[in-house]
Amino acid sequence: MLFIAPLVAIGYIDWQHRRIPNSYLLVLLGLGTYSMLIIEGSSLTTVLINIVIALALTLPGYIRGLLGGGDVKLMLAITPLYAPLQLLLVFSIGIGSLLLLMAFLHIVQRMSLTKAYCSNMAVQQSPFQRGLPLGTAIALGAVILHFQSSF
Amino acid sequence: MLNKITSKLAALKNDDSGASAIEYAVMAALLVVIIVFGIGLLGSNNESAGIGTAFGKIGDKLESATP
Repeated sequence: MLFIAPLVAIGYIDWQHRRIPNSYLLVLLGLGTYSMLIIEGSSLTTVLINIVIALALTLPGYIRGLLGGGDVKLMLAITPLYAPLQLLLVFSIGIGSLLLLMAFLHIVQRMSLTKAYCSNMAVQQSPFQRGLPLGTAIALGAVILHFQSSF
Repeated sequence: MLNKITSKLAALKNDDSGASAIEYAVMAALLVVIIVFGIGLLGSNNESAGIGTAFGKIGDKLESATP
């Protein structure tokens, strides 16, 4: 639960500025390591498998210039927090829900009612034009998975 | 070689950009969904699915086929 707060902060900053500050990543990594070593005792093998998964998902994109460096580091920072299958779920659920959210915003921006009454919102560029903020996607996936497992 | 890796790691350390290409993210997410679905199918304890059940059936047929 403790790591949700820095993830949400990272998600907000990434959505606004398309940046993931290293300081927030360090906080997340510290919390993850603390939770791994002291609270839940997630094994080193699990973390190593997660690191391989995180690098396999993000490193090819980073090398080809399709992903930001912050995204790679964020995926690595959350490796101690989840089991391998959960990490995959956070990644896919986050991207899927963020794409739905961005598509919804895109449609709302193009509606004539928005153009008539919320001119500020209609003037803004489409969320798709600035690329997908993977930090926001991961934060969203983590929050959804957390609340889904709570119920 | 080592210098190249070091410079790449230094570049990664200083790079805090968080924008990704949508196509790449969608492809990666789809791949992950397929992997998760595959793991679920292979590890299923269902009667009609699951790799354990499939191998069990093969073993049974082999045993019954031997003279």
